[in-house]
Formats: sequence, C-alpha cells, structure tokens
Amino acid sequence: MKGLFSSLFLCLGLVYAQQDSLKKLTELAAAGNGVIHLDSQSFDLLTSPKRTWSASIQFTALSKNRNCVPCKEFDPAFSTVGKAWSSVQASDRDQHFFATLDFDNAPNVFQKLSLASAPVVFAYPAADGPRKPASGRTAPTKYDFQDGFDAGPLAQHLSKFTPVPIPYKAPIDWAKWFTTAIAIIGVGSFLRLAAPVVFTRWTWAFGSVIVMLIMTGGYMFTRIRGVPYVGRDGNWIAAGFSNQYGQEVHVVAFVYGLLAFSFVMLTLIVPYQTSPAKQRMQVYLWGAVVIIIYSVLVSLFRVKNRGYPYKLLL
Amino acid sequence: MQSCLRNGTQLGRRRAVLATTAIPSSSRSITINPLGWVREKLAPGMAEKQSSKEVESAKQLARQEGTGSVFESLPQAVVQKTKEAKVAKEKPTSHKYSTANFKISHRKLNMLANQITGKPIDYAILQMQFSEKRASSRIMNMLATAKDHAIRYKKLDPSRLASFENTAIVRTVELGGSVVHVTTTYAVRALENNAKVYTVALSKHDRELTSHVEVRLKGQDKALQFKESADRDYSLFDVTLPKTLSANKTLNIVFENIQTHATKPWPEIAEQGGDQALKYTTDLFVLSPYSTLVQRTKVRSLSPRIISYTEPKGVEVFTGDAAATKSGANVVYGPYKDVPVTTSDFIGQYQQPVTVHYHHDQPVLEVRKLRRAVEVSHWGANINTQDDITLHNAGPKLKGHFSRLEHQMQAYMKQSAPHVLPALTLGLPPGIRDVYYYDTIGNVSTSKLRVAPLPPKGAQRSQFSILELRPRYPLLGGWNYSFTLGWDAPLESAVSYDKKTGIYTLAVPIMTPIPGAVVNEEELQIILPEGATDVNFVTPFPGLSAVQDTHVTFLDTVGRPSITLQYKDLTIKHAQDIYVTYKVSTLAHIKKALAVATALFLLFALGGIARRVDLSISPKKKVQ
Amino acid sequence: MPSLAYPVPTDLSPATVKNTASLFRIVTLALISGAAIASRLFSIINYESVIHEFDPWFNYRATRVLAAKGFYEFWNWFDPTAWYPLGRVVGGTVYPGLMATSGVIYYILQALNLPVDIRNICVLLAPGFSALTAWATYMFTKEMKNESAGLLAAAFIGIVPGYISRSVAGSYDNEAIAIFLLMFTFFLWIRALKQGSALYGTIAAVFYFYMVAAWGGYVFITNMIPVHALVLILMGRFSHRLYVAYCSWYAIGTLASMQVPFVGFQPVSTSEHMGALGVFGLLQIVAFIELVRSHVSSQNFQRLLRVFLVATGLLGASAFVFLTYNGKIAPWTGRFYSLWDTGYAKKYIPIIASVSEHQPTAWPSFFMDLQMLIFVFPAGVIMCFRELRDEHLFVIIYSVMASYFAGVMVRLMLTLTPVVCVASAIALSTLLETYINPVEPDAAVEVVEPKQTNGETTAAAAPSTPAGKKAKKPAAAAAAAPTSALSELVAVSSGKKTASSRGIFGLDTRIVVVLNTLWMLFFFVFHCTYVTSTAYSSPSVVLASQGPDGSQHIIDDFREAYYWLRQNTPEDAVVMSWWDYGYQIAGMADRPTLVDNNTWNNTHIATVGKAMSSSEENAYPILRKHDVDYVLVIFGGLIGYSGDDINKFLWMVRIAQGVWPDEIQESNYFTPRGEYRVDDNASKTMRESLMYKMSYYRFADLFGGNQAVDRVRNQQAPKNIELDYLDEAFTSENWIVRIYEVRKEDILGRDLKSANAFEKGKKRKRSKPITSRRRALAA
Repeated sequence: MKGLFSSLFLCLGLVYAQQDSLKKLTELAAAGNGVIHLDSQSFDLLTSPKRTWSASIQFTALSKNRNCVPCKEFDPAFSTVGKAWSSVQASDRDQHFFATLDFDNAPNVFQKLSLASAPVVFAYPAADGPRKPASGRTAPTKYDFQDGFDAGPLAQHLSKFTPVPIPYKAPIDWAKWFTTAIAIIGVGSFLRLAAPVVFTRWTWAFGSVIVMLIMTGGYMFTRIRGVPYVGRDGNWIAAGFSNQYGQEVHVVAFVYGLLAFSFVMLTLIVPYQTSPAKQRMQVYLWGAVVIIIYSVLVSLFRVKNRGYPYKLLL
Repeated sequence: MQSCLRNGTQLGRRRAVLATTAIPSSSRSITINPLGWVREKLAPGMAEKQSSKEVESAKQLARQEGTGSVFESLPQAVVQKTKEAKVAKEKPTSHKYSTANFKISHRKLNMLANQITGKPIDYAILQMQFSEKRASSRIMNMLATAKDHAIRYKKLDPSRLASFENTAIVRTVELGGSVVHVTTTYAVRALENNAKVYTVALSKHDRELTSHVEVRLKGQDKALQFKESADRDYSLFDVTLPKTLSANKTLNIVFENIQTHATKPWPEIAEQGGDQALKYTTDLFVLSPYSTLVQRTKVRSLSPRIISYTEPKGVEVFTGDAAATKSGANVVYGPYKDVPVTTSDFIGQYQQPVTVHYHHDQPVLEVRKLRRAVEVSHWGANINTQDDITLHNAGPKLKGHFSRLEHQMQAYMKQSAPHVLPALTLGLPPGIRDVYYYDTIGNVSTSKLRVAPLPPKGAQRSQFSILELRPRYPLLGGWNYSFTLGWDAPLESAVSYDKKTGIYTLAVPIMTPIPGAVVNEEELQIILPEGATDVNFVTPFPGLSAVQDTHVTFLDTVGRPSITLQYKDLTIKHAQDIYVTYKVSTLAHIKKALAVATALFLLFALGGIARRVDLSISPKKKVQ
Repeated sequence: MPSLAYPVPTDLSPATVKNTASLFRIVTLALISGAAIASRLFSIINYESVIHEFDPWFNYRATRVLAAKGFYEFWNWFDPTAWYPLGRVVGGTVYPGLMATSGVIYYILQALNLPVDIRNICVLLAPGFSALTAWATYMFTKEMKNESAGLLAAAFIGIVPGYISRSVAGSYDNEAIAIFLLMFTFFLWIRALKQGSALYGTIAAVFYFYMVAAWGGYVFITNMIPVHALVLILMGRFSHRLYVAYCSWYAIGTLASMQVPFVGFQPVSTSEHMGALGVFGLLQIVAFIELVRSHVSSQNFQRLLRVFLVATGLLGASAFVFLTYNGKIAPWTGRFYSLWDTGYAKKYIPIIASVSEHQPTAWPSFFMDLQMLIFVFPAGVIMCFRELRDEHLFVIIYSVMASYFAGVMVRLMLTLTPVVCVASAIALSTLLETYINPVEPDAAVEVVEPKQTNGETTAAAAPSTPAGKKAKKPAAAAAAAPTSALSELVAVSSGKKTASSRGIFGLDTRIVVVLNTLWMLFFFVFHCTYVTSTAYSSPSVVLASQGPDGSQHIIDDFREAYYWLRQNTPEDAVVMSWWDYGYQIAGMADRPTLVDNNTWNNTHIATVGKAMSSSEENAYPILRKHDVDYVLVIFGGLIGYSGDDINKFLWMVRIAQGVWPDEIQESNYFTPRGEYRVDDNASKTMRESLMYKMSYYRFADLFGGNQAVDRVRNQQAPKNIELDYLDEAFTSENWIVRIYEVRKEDILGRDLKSANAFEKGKKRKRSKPITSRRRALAA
C-alpha cells in the first residue's frame, strides 16, 4: 500500500520535474533568440533520458584561440535555422529545441560523447511521451555535412525530427539579382555598341573554340568535383589518370590552343604569304612549334599515365 | 528321422523333375498317388487324349506350389515315373511318355525312379542298363522308346535332348563405382553326346542391371554366339558351343556381364572431407538349369576396406564350413557343393540376397545424357565430332555446404576426399586438331591436351591424345556439370575409299569412354556429306532405335543424310565403332560451290542494274 | 603554264583521273572497314568470343528470347525472374532496336542455311556496325568538304579509341549500332537540307526512328537538329529547303518515334522534346512571314512583323510555362537534368551518380580517347567558320555542345568522337591539299582569293538573300567541292592556267609539312592500337593476370560461380546481390534476382542496400520477406580485385540511407576519425554489417596463423567472424565470388543465433586443432 503511494508520488514528482525543466528550457530558448547556449548541466537537462521533447544540438568551438574555421562558417546557418524555428507557434515550438554547445563551456561533454572534431550537429529524438519515435531509437543521429554548410539542407534534414517542418526560407540574395541585372544591361549596351564586332564570324569562332578548349581541358571535372586549383603539396599536376587540378585545365587548354593555332596558321595564313623566303620561314617555324608542343603534351600525358609507352622528343 | 531327412533331399531332387507333371498331388507324396492310381484303375486308355488345356492348368497349379520348373521354355526330355498320357502340342518342346500299361508296384518303381529322376535321358538309360533290379530292363526299354518317339514323332533335336552338368561355377564380382564387372566361369561336363547348346540363366533383377554380355571359352578371346530368350522372371542365354561335345567331355565357358547402377552410396550423404562407401547386392546362388557340383562367388573390391558383408543363412546343406569368408579386399561365398537345378522353391528356400558394403576411392560418375554429333565434310577433308555431356557425381550427396577453404586445404595436403572430382582425363583419338571445350556460358580455359600423332595407314590405333579437363568447379557428391567437347579429325583417319566400287566407309566410335563412368543415355547422330547416296550402316550391338533422315546446315540446298541412334547404359565395353558406307558423286561435290556462285552472280547483276536505273523524277535536281 | 613544285604527268585524260580516283576511294573504304573491324577483335583474340560487362548480358538474353520465340513473344515478354517479386515488363521497357537488328540478321542467316550461333552474331555486331559507321562518317564529311576529307574522317572514326571503347567485339550494347545511326541520320539531314528534298528528309526520319528504337541517346538528335535549324533561322538563312527538310523530318520522325512503346508519348509531353516542337512551330511562323512579306509593302510589313513576333513569342512561352506548371509537360528527367545542374544527381539520385560512366571527364581521358584529334579539331572548326555554309554550322554547333557533354559525363565522349573525327579530317585534308598541290603561286601578285570573298559575301548578304540564289549556291559548291584537289591537278596537267595567288613556294616546305603530318598520323595509329589492345579489350567477365614469367593467366571466378548456381541450385532459387551483377546472374546463372542494372525501382535497390548494410538480425527478416535463397557478394581481398563490393559498399549505404534515413546513416560506417576502414578499428556498425561479414567470413583462416591481409584495402583482415543466419554455400577459386545460403527458420523454433551457438558447442569438440590448419596454409 505504502509502496504504491510512494511510487505514485514518485511519478507525480517526475512529471512535475519534466514540466518545470521544460519551462526552463523554453525560457532559455527565448533568451538565446531560438538557440539555447548550453553548458554541461543544462546539456544534461536538455538530453535527459526522460525528455518528452526533441532537440538538435550543435557542438562547436567558436572562440578565437581554437580558430576552427568551419565552425565559424557553419554557426550562422545553424542560428538562422534556430531563429526560423522560433517563429512557429508555441505549442509546436516548445517540443523541439535548438541548442549550441561551445567546447570551452563544456569540454567534459565533448569527452563524454568522445567528439574529436567540430562542428557536429546531433538530433536528439524525444525519449519519452507521445513524440517518442515508433522505432524506439532514442539515440541521437548525426548530421553529415554532405551538402556543405548551407542552412537550407540543414533545415531540411532537421525537419525530420521537429513536430512541424522548420519554416526556413532562404533569404533572397539581392546582391546576386542586382549584379545579374547590371550584367544584362551592360551586355545589351555593349552589343549595341560593338555589334559589328560581335556579329562577325571570327568573334563567334573564337568564342566557340575557347569553349571547346576549356571543356576538353577537363573544366567540368574541376567544377563538379570541386578540386583545388593546385595540390596541397604545391605541385599543379594531380597524380592519377582520372584526376586533375584546376591549373591543369589552363595549361592543357593553352597547349591544345597553341597546336590548333599553328595548324590554322599553316593552312590559312601561310599560303597568303607572298614572299617565298618569309613563307618558308613561317612554315618551318610553325612546323617546329607543332613538333615541340606536341612532345611537351605527350610527356605531360606520360606523367598522368605511367604505363604509356610512347614518347617524342622529350 | 534320418530317412526323413533323406526324403527331404530326395524331395528336392524329385521336384525338379516333375517338369510338366499334370498331377500335382503326386508330387506331394512319394508313396501314394491317389489320382493317378484312380485313373489307372478307371480308364487305361482314356488318358490318351488329355487336353493340353488341362496340362496348362496343371502347370499353373504346380507353379503355385513352387513345384513347376523355373525353365519352362527350356526343352528337355524328361523321364516320367508317374503313369500318364502323352500330350501332343503344336510346337512340341517336350515329350511325355507314360507307363500306362506297365504293371509294377510303385514301391519298386520308386527305388529305380529315385535313381534316375532329373537325369538326362541317356544317362537314365545308362543307369538302367547296369541296374541289378528286375524292373530296370523294362524301364530301360520304355525310356529308349520314349526317346525314340520324341525324336521321331516330335522332331526334337537329339542334341537338345542332351544335357550338361556344371562341375564348377566360379563367379567373380569386381566392385566399382557405377560399373560392376561380373565374370562367371562355368566348368561344364556334357552328359550326352553331341551337346551343342549350353544355357546360362540370369535372374530378372540381374538382367536389368546388366548392360553388356559376352560369352567366351576360357583362354580364348573369340566371343561365342548366343541367343537370348526372356521369361517372366528369368532370362536365358542359349550359347552355341564352337563344337559339339560328346558325353563326359568338359569345357570352360566364361560368361561376362557388366552391371551398371548396381551400387548405391551408403550412407547417402557424406561430408566434404568424409569417406565414400557403397553397397552392392547380388544373389547368393548362380542360377543354372543344370545341377552344379560346386559353385563359388568371389566379391572383390578395389580398396581392401570392406565394411560389412552378409552371412548367408540356412545353406549348411551345401557347405561344410563357413558360408562366407573375407580375406583382404575379397569376400568369398562358398564353395557350395551339389547345388541342384534351380527350381522356384529351391529359390524360395535357399536363394537370398547378399550385400557387400565397401569403401570406394574414386568418385562415382554418371553421364546422364550424351549427345554425340559426327559430321563428315569432304570439302574440308574433315570429320567433326562434338559431345554434349551432362556429368553427374552419383556418389554420396554433399552434407552441409561446400567450403573452399577446406577444399584448398585438402588439395594442399594431397588428401582430397574420394567423392570429389577435381579433373577428368579423356583419351581422344590421335591426330585431332582444334579441340574445343566450352559450356553454356562460354569457353572453359582450364584444360590441357597432348595430341598423339596419327598412326601410319594400316597400323593399329595405338595411343590416344590425352585431354585433361577441369570442370569450372570441383564436382562434389550430387553435383552436376554439363559441358560440350568437340574436335576435328582429318578425313583419312576415319574414312576409307574404295576405288572400284566408289564406296566410302566411315568408322564412328559410339562414344569416348569417361573412366569409370556409365552413360545413361546416348543420342548419336552421324551426318554424311550432302548428296551422299546408298547409305548403309552396321552397329556392333543394337541400339534402342535407329532413324535415317536429312540434316540441313551450312549453305545446303537439299540437306545431308543423317543417321540417329539411341543407346542406354553404355560402359567402356561399348566404346566400339559403327561402320557406315555411302557413295558421293562428283556432281554432289560441286553442287554447293555452284549454288553459291550463282547466288553471288545474281546479286552483282541486280546491283549493276540498280545502279544504271535512274529513278529521280527530274534529272537536273540530281547532285553531281 | 604555272610553275610546278614537282612534275606531274601531263598526258592524263580527266576521265582516267576520275575513274582511278573512284577506284582508289572504294579500295580505301574497304581497307578502312577492314581495319575498323580488325582492331575491335583484340578481345576475341586475347580472350574468347564472349559477351562483355553487364548490360550486354541483358541485351544478349533478350536477343536469345527474340531469336527463339519470335518478335511478338518478345514484344510482350514479361520477365518474372527480374526484380523479384515485382517482375519486369521487358517488351515495354527496352529499346528494342539492338535485339531486333541481330534478330533479323540471325533469321536471314538461318534462311540461308548458315547456322551461326546467336551469341557470335551478338558478339560481332559492334565491329560490323563500326565499319558502317566509318562509311556513314565518310558520307557526312563528304557533304562537309570532299571525298579526301571523307576518307580521312572514315579512317579516324574507324580506329579512334573513343569509339572503340564502346564497340569492341562482345560489348553488345545499344551504342554499338547507335553511333552509326547517329552519323547516318545527320548525313541524311544535311543531304535533305542541301537539296531541300522531302525524300531525304523522310529517310532521315526513318533512320531517326531506328535510332529512337535503338538508344536513349536519340534525344541528342532530337535537340541537335532543331538547334541547327534555329541557328539557321536566326542567321536569316531561312529557306524553303530548310522548311521542307525540317518539316518532313520532324513530322514523320516524331510520329514514328512514338511507335516505340518505351518512348510512347514523350515526344509531345516531356521537356527534352519541346525544343523540336518549338522550332517546328517557329518554322511555320517564319514561313508564314515570308509569305506575307512577299505580298505586303515593306514598312507595313515591319510593323506587322514586330507585333506578330512579340505576340507569338509571348503566346508560345506562356503556353509552355503553363503546361509545364500543371504537369502536362514533364520537366527534365533526372539523367538529362543532371547534365545541366551537375550537382543535382549526387544530391537526389545517388543511383545515377554512383554509376562510373556518369562521372565527369578529366583531360587525360580526352587525350587517351582522341589523341592528336583533340587539338586538330578546333582548327577544323575554324575552317568550318571560314566558309560558313549551312552544313558547317551544324558541325560547329555539334562540336560545342558535344564537348560540353563529354566534359560532364565520360560516356558522352562517345557523342563527341564523331564530330572530332569529322572536324580534324577537314583540317588535315585542307592542310594536305594545300601542301601537296604542286601549283606554285606567282610571287607578289595581290589577288583576293575567290572562295574567301565568296564566303564573306554570303555571310554578309545572308540576311536578305532571296531563296533562289541560295538554291543555286550549294549545288554549285557541291559540284565544285568533290575532288577539288584532283580537278585542280587535272586542270594543271592539261595545261590550263589557273590564276591562284595562294600557294606554297618550294618543295622542301611541302616535304616538311607533309612528313610532319604523316608522322603524326602514324603516331596516332600506334596510339590507337596500344590503347585498344590494353585498355578497352578486356571483357570484365573474365579477368587476366600476368604470371611472373609474363604468361597470361585467366581468372574465371565469375563464370565459375554463376555456372555453379545454374547447375546445382533449384530453378527458382532467388539470388540477392548488388544491382551491378543482376544482369550477369540472370544471363549466366539463369536465376531470379532482386535487382539488376536496369535501375528503375530505387526503393527495391535501397532495400537490398539496407539488407547488405544492416546487421544479420535486422537483415534476416528482409531476406526472408523477399524469399531470398542465396546471397552473392564479390570480394577481391585475396587477389586484389579492386572493383569488389566492399569498395562499392558506401554507395549501398548511401542509397539505403536515402530511403531509411533513421535506420541507416553513412556516418556510422566510418571510424570516429572519419576513415573508411575494414580492419579491427572499423566502426561497430561496419563490423556488424552483413556485407562485411560475408566478405571476410573465414578469410583469415586461409592464412592460418599468419597476418591475414586484404590486398585491396591493404589492411589487416578481421578474424573469427561468425554467421548465424547464413551458410557459406560456394566460394570461387580465387574467392572473388562468395555465395551464401539463407537459412530457413529453425525447426525447433529457436532463433537461429542460439540454435547456431548450440551447434557450435557440439562441433567445437570435434573440430580439428588450429595448428594443422596453419601448417596447411603456410604456403
């Protein structure tokens, strides 16, 4: 009998505890403008095993002396998402909290979670109450920065844990619009002025050839893979057959262009040279250019493809 | 007691005699013979015309009582002691002579009868000649008359009336995987002049297992002719002896039969590393229509590890000491002395299956289906042979699963399990080229070939080209692997041409033996060159079916004559040649070339015409 | 008599020259075809006549059905064994062109009593069609310049690795015939455009239909031709020839293409095809305007035109937007969309992103595939700009677009290759003609080159040329174009005086340039042979390894395992594997598969990914639900075959995560330090995953006591892995393919884990000591 009573009280006590901790958290969130700034015990409070709410926590190290660059890059995104969340009506808002934990405020938490790197975002699903996930998995899930540090993907990802989707909207990037508008106008006026130049075939020829050279130089590869301009170790040729650095695009495109140009010269320009001596000189010149540049190109290729058996002059 | 025992034996003896007795009851008692006696009393002559129907019914009766002879179809002159009528059948195989008007007490008669029952007629006459009994002379005369009548009225062959006795039968069973060699040697003594035909009997079960039969005289390798006749549950082989035997001459006849699927794995599953044990079951006694003085069965396995064998029961009558003895790899049943002519109740009483359970160290292989296509091309001077083989490991099924790790370990320690087949070695004909070995999903690169050179004309085909082929995966118990194997051979290696008659003779081997494997069914197709005529072929042994039709391939206009034969249960003994003769006219030779040339010419002609026709509506619009 | 750099025979009648030339052409074309076919047979010579890689196995299987059962059976063939238990309506989900082609060839040969195995037809189809491609390219380039350029182009396309890579003997894929169709359709289009003939337009449409039936890449044509037409209109080169050619092509081609079930109504309902439709409409408008212009006075016309254009423009655009908005017109499909927004695929369609041939192209592979052509071809494009005829515009647009696409996706290198060959052929033949031409210019006379001015005037006068004049010009040009060098030569040799100021002085210059070019061409040939024989001729079904003595040793594990499945498992045993091997299993093992290379159902693939990447307990229900009998994994750890499943594992995880984000997280498969490891400090999730266990099960035992090393990852392989829900059923000779049988539920109703533990408890007593095993495998 007594035991039953005691247990009853215990339950009530627990419920009350939940209640006021929830209230506390709500205040904290309001204070932090949507994002709770945690220290170790408030962290324990937020992630208590009997929590009826869910939370998404950013572990970061923003202080100068840590100089964690990605942390600084990512922090604004997180806080904007948190801010966006604080705009939903209270009933939903108070079931999910955004919090950030700085290393210097609670290093022990980092140790407890054995976090070696920052920033990290954990999403804690509710461990109790109605919003406890059906699968019963209450362990936090980690957000992998696959799509970079942008706020959009983050909001999209975290919306899976919030009662209602996070009403995050990407802020309209006025600067971009402005520049594009300017560019359009500029181009338009330029065309008006330079129409005779623009509409000659050779302008177009030049343009298209440039495009072709850039593309065949592997520009799209660098774009899609986002490879650096030069390697960390400073050399500008990436090892490996199907890999390259940004600078290679320029070099290769230039080499191609030079070779193509010499062919064009030999074919189109040289025959119009009326003095035999000059013409002969040019023929030999361009012939030499072709041979030398070509062998440079081949040797460049042999750097990329070790097994390649052929070599020219060098 | 003693006498009773004697009677028992006599019983056994006599029963054998009552080949076609019409009166079963008489067989039941030696002493009293009511029915016969009554008939004798009632109507002396009426039995003259006893309907053959009656006889048949009597036979039925006799058979039910196990007293009928097991060899109905075997014609023999038999001595009658019971008084009974002569029966006239359309196609007489036996002759009955009765002692109807023959006054003598059956007690006296029995004395003599017991002496001669079951013995061939001449032997009986001989006995009577030198008998002390008074009745003997009369019986002798009667017998002589009976023989005389039999020969004269019924045209029974005197030599067939003659008969044999097996002085010894030695059966040797060489246990194998799916193939078991059984060699039975009959030491035969003729009991009668000009004995010509000796009969060997096989039980139905043995006959079904048997896939190949060969009869020889001991020490000679010339096969004897025989004619087989099957009964409900027996098969008889009437072997024609090379020369007639006169009485008391002896002869050793070797009867070889090869049994397939005679063994079964026991236990039926084995682990990857485990042993492989097989069971072989056969009958204890060798059946024979003749009485046998001594017979012995020797079962020999390849490995000395024989796990168990059956001890025969209730054969003390025939053997003094142990009914079966085991020494090393051999289990010997017998010797059994004085084994009488086989009768159904002898079988009922003594015949029994004996089983030998033994280890076998080679995988038990079985070719479930073999399709062989042999295509002769005179243009390419080439004979192409292609076998589609479905191989099956009929040993104990793999227990659990295959572990590559274990397999590699076994391979490394040189102790691979007996039922695992890692590779095969085949002997292909010499002088072959372009050997190919592939399966449904492409070429199999794991094979080695050593080609033997083609022997000079006329020389015996001495050595083989050795092909070692590995299946894609090791073949474990119960696994299958189907593949295709083919090769080209020069035309002259198998085809000979006769200038005068213009006849080609082609020799096609029925199969390429896979060591230790039995071929369950084979379809052999022989494709002759296009336009071949007068096709004849000779097979070493008959197939299930033989069909002639035409096969159309490679730019044929009329198609090529082809012969398709079906076989089953082939063993290495069957790897013999089929001979095909045919003619090919010169016109037939160049027919194909002509056809192709014509077609091409027409094509070019059409092209030329098409080029010169101008289809455009307004010529001036045409560019250049 | 002009001065000649070297003597030429003078007593040749033009007829003789013409005939010899045409004879040479035929012989050369024959030789080129020979070379094209021969250079694709390396794979057969080095290996065997076998179907390559993955997709070809499906095509081969489909073709076998077609050959065996006839076309109608094939047409409504429902394959229950694929995508078990869903099944797949094959007839409606394939481009049947390829199968139909080889089926027809097969039937013809049968009719001729030539019993050629369907497999050999399939294997040799690609080389055969490459010869046709060479011919088509010849015709195309002939339209561009002249025969000699055409021959050069044919030779290039015949042996250039960029095309061989997809058309070696055995790679029986749609591209095998598609490139021929592509080039031939383009040739017909150009013909139709030049002559303004509806006949050629129709033939072009027919081949376009064939192309649609053969390859998904037909969309390239569907957009290429309209763009060409559009540019012509914008340059004011509208003509009735264009109108006739385009309308006949578009109307018939579109109607025909809708007959292919797999395409259906896309040509009128998806954005990829809208361009063609729009240009079709535009052409009608422009034609109408032309009509009006010829009736109305000019200043009214200007006003009318402006109003009209604005109105129609607004109308069309708004209609398009509206239709797209309410879904009448499907937006770009993922594959095409990922061509423009290159980040799209990785984010939203990981399956597409995971395919290796959808990766972007680095410059070395450009050079590998095209070698010298890659830098000669801009020169060729410039020459096209020089005399800017309508067809040259086509080449220019083609080269710009194709080089962009080739940069985005490796496989689209294939579409770039033909135009590269054409353009560089134009450049090189121009060069050679210039330097072989024996006529020396008479020094220091300033005469403007006639062709040049001609080109200029057309370009300048283009906007206001009446159609009549243009009708003449190309005809004239075409008449002039063929054998220009030859005709010149003939003219010279027959002593006529051709006044030309452009030309080369002296013999040495000629020799230098010609030799230089020849030398480059030879180098090109060597390069092509080398690349073809080494890089592009291995059927990934069979692997070859070099022995220490340089002898080639064949590694045939795939077929070993597949054939074992085929021969020793029940007909209806369901095999689960990663989708790469689906087609091969269906083709070689002939068993039902869960997923295969036709990746139409993302969820199903994700299910497999989930089963592979989750722990045994979680995977087992999935396996049982899909009544999987066998699970097949590829493991290269023993012989260092790097393309194995552990290396593909992250994609499985990623794809599974896309569907079950809260059960599978990619991050759990990395070590805390973010590395992807398989040895003992691999993450727990990794070590428990089914794929991991199946790959390394009993692998360490093979090394006995020694260090078990995974030769692909160069890491230490894990020891004593226990499998409770699966049994190892088969492992191929080099451990590349490992097949596991899924256990049925325990008879006693225990869960398999405890049942297994019980078994083990019994076994452990009997199992042989480890020491012997060590001795066994010391080697």
